[in-house]
Amino acid sequence: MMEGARCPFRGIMTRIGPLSSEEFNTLLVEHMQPLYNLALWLCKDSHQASDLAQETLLKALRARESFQGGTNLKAWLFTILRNCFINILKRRGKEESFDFEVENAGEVESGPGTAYGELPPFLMRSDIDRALEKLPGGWRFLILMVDLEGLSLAEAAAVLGVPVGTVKSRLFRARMILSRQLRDYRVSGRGDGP
Amino acid sequence: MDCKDVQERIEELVHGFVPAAEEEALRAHLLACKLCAQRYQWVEKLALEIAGKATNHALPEELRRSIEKDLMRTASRRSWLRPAVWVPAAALAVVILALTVLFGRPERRSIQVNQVIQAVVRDYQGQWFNSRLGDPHLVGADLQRWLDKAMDLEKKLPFQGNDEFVLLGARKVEVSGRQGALLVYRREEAVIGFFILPAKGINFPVQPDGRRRVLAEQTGYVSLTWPWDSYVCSLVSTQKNREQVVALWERMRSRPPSG
Repeated sequence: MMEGARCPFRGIMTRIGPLSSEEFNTLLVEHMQPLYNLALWLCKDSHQASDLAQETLLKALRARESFQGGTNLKAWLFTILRNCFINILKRRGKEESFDFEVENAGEVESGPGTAYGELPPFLMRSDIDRALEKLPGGWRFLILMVDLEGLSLAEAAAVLGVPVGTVKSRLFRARMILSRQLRDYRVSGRGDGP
Repeated sequence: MDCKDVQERIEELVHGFVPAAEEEALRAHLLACKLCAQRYQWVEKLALEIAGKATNHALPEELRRSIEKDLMRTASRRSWLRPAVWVPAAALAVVILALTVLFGRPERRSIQVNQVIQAVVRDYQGQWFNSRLGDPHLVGADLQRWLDKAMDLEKKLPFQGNDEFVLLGARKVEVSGRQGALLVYRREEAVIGFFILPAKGINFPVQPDGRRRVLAEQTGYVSLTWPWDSYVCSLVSTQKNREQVVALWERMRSRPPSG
């Protein structure tokens, strides 16, 4: 067996080799859907998300030469998207932060003995969306990159410019917060009965 | 391997990024350790809930049009008359013509069919799959019926081949306990395996809208995988045939199954 070989059905990578301009443009169009989706999850406003997605695309086109064949195009685009979003935040001079320093993050336990609690057996789309919306932007961006868009932890780490270990611990914390919110909805929200 | 080691790897395990050899050891630990199994299930459930239920905001049509316009504008700036473009293109055309003459004869194809299928299967087997071969099927008008019987395929095949992509033959396969089918296509000298497997139990979050596609390059191989209703399809070939794999995938996508 080849070292490092993986079952193709388990790979979630979108690795791209050397591309012609036409291939590159075609792939950009294909990647606009996930770009716009993440942009809207970040901005929470469709007009801002459109602007962000378009700005990302234009920067990608200008930086086409810097894209290295054999790397993940989606991750590369997400890196540009993230940088554009951070620039927008800076331009607005908002206090809003894209980093991962969230209040009460220290309360999240970690380690082999941590109790996770049971998640409600049935969750609605609105439950998931509401819980994700409550996550700080950077955490939401990370969890959506990994769970929804299928980036590997290494690719997500490259997008964020942090080590893989940091991504793991941030993912764990984000999941703990999500999990807690989802359990709370169950207790206080929709109720158990008709 | 202790609990700390295992819990360090749970995210990768859930998302299918652990090499097969290591995965075995991790899963063995999960069977024996209730605490780690609990954490695995917790991460897996959350990941699947997000993958399956988090809103995937549709790209507005207006934005799509605007993007396409931007891209066309960029493309139109390039001149097709530059020698850097047309010289390699002309050279490629000559090579393709030569290959067609050399390899395109029907008798040559028919001689190689069984050998090619065997070679493809032998090649993939042991690389990624714990696979077993079932009965062979050389393609014909009854291919769809054979597929229905071989793997209870309720869908119409996305593409049964043409003069460009020649469907050489098919095999029943069992991949990690799942009954599936392997079809082998050839375009010029490129041989491409097309696997269809039931998606249930396959460890990657299949998107219900079918938008996820995967182009994964391992050492020496390229594979392109996408969900198709309750199935997972994958085209596999050697890396040098990457473009042919993408072209076949495009062909399959451009003629969506009606069933």
